Amino acid sequence: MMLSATNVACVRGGLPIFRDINFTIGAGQALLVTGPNGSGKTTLLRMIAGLIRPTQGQVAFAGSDPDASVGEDAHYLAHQDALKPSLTVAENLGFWSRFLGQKTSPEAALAAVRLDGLAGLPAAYLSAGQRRRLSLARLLAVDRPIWLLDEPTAALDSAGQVLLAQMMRDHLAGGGMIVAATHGPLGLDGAKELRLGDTQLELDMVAPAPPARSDPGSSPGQALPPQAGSGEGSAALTMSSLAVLFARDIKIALRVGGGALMGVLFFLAVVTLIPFALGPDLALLRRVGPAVLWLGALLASLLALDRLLAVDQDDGSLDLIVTNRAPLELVVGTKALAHWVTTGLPLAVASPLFGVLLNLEPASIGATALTLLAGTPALTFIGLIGAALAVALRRGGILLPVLVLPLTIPVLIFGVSAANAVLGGPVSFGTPFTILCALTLISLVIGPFAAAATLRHTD
Amino acid sequence: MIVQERSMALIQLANPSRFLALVGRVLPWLVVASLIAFAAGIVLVLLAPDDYQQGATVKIMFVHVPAAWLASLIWAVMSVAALGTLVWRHPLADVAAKTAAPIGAAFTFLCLFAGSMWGRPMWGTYWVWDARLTSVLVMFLMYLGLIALWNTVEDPSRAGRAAAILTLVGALNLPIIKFSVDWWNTLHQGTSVFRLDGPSIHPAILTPLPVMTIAFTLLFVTLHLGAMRNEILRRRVRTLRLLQAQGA
Repeated sequence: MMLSATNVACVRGGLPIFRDINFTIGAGQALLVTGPNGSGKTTLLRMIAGLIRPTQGQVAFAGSDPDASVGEDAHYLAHQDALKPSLTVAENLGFWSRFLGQKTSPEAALAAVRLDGLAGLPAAYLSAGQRRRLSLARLLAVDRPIWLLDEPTAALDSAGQVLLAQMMRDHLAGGGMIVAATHGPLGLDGAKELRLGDTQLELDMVAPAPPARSDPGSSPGQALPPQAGSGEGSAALTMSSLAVLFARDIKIALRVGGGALMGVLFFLAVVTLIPFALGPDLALLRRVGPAVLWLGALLASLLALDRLLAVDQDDGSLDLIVTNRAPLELVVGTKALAHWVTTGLPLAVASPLFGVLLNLEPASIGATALTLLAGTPALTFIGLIGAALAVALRRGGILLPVLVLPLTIPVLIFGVSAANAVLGGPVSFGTPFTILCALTLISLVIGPFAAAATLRHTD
Repeated sequence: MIVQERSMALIQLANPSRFLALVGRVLPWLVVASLIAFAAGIVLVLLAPDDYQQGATVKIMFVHVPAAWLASLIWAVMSVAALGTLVWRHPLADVAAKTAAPIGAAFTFLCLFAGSMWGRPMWGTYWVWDARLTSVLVMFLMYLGLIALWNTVEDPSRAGRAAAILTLVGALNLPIIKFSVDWWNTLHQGTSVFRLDGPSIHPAILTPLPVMTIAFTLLFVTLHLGAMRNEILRRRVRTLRLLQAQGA
């Protein structure tokens, strides 16, 4: 195993941050990245993790799986903890170990950082130092040979720092690698140092270690055959990690602060507003009812989009989620599906009740609910593109609906047409409903691809 | 070493220099060509006979139709530029896409405005939810959304790739939107409205149309190249300022 950077340069926003970075570390070696604030330490770590593209040069990892990118073999410990406050300590850790590939059992990892007594507590109750320890437990629980540590001692007490040093020494002894951005020594003897941001850019060329100490499992020749012969196995692995992600997103949405039913509440508020604007004319409400329900559902699902990816970005989870070995399209598609189940599906389910408020006929109620059931996935998956754009640009708020609304016009047209068609009219229910289903299928494809491309291309 | 870092930034700046030199040479000729085309077009428009039903108002068409053509053409230009940004990572593609968006929005607005002015004598109202006008309105909204996206982020290269993806998604969606709006319109249209492709227009009236279309297209190319030049210079100023801040 060997991690190397060749002539790596980074220009961000037209400004050169660093250039001519060269290093090579082998199994069991550590590299300390030092330098003043703003010298690009975090940028370099994110670059190794594959979250930022080098402007020049390349980062390469010769590991067990030739197809895996460097990021897929690395575990990035950022300033953010990637913890969900509503999940328990054990659930948080269990998710990451099952999603990213398990090494040590979560229980053993928690015991190693001495958090095993708190396993059942929601992560919201933890102190800053305890949150940090939980992040360290994630390093142990997840099977990644390269640790990328961004100032890992932050918020740790002295006992925690001793613990971290021991963890790092064990990881190196087991043939792992560490690249750490740090201001302190970290207690790693013999680690190489790369200084960034000096007027004299030091080119730290480190010779690869002799492979004497590497354990047999990590040698490429032996690890390759099971990889090559296990196409089905890796597909099953992908499916199981997607299922874990799906379950976790649903769990978070249903817990405190998840806001799963907030959309339905907003939907109800919109429907209640309409008679105040139009007057309580039941005949009129009956005529515009399907349109009102569709507009309310459209606005409610737009409102919820803000949570689809932005929450995961804010707490650092997204940086880890994208390093999963499953294709990014499937990962974001899974997130969108979970989002639809918790925000779109309840709208369709609640619509018959609101239809009664608007004096709709039973046939009309059924048709509206059916069209919402078929059409709201399209709204979520089109919205996924907007959510990815908002995340990539780190701008949320009103920009997202502005970008997404025009793209949802076809869904609205065919959804309302189909819902109205059952009351008699120039077209039958089937024509617009079939087109609505087609639109949903198209957006199921375009949405994940465009969102994955957005997340990949904008770093 | 700081000097070397600066020179690296300057090399990056120098990249589009050949383009700037080319624009400097071509732009005066394009301005002249646009002026000639517009002169010829306006003379032809003035000479064209009035429609027996619509009178002189039919001549609004010579602004309306080329503007509509440019609204679509410019989105196509932006889509090609978007591919350039995402696939070939060409530094100019970004600049081309960014500068095309406001010009496209302006022509789309001109198309809507001319259509509305034309609608007043024809339909008796400034706005009807006619299929063509409605899909152009949606397009206008998408142009404005794209410009909003460009304007949210200070770093142009980061905004560029996001805008490129939105442009391509828009290019995929625009035909779907057009189809949906047409379908929606035929569903709701009780009486037939004025149709451009009907027999009510004598071919003789249409002769200035290709000339005006060429004139508008030349105007777009001129404006676009000029705007690209300005954008490149603006980015150089930005980088120099950043270097100044860094050196301070």
